[in-house]
Amino acid sequence: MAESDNDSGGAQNAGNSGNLSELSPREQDRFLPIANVSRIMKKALPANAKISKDAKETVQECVSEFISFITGEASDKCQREKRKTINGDDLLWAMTTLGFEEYVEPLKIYLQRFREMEGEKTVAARDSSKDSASASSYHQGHVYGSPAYHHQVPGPTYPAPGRPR
Amino acid sequence: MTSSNSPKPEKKITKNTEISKTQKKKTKNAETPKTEKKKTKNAETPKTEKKKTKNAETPKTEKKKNAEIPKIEKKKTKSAEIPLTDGKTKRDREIAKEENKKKTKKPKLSNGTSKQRDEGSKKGVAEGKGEEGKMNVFPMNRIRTMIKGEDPDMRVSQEALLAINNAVEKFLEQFSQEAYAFCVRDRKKCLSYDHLAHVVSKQRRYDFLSDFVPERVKAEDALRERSAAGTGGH
Repeated sequence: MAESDNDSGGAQNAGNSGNLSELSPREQDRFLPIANVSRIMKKALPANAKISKDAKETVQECVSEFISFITGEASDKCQREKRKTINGDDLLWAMTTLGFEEYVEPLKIYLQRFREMEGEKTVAARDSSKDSASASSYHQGHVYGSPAYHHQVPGPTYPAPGRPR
Repeated sequence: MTSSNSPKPEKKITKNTEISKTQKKKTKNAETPKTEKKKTKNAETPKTEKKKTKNAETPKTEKKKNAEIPKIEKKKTKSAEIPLTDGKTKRDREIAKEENKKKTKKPKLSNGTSKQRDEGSKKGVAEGKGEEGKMNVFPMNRIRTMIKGEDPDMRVSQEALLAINNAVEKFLEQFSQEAYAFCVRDRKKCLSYDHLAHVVSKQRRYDFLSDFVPERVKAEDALRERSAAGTGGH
């Protein structure tokens, strides 16, 4: 039922104009790749945990809805403020509003590092000298290393269950 | 039924958001499939949606067929991601380091059952495809496409895409762990739909998923509710 609605919607978009047809989401584009979703799920669970295909597909849909949920709220905020671009802070605000406030602090740290790297890129771009460029890129590597480490410290994982019998 | 009544305030917020979204899209004369979904939600009662979900078991089969197609797109996504990585040699090295760490994890999977071995091989393939995108778990263009589908006129900054990418990873980890807790409680080996549905029904923060992941109800119970409600939905 839901899918047929989507199909007819897509047709309408195609009829409107060429530009819109480029933007109209195809079936596969409505979700994130299931392999990526599955990998993150397994990373969060004990090594011997199994996940049914049905559960993976369901979570795939949930993730898409999560993105729409957060982005919709951020988009509303931008419209109220007469802005045309959603930026990181709008999304952090939306998460706080919608009950995912514990995501905000780690994301602030993450975005701060991203902004620092952006600044370094600008400096590197201005400086045409190869030596100084390589030096700054080396430093850049160091800075980038820490978020990777941060990534590798996930939230608490549940202990593996005892052997079922 | 009773539990669904208690989180009224959040549902109201959600509904208001949906209504405003619909209005915007009408104004722009650009109706996307998602708009129709939301209209359907507003028009019908939760009971009807539950019934539809059962009918939607067939679409799931279709989705499985569609799942084969995305492999082609993943390849396209790779070519799209390459330019982003070209200018960042250091990132490649760090990505290689992460790959080495992940390689050490693979043997553990291969020690499991044949199914787990298959999953391990799939993992390898997925990791291979995602080499250049390791810093960002999901393909950026896909996320941008999804957000554009929401509101075509709105632009999205690069840092916003990074924020979403990171938030989705956290959401996935948390949701999976909470569902797994119910899986353990039921003494099941495999995490399944029912555990996800239980998480959604138990926590208010996941109310926005209640239309997508309702708890399963027996057909006779659904029919009773339908007759009690009178004419439902379409």
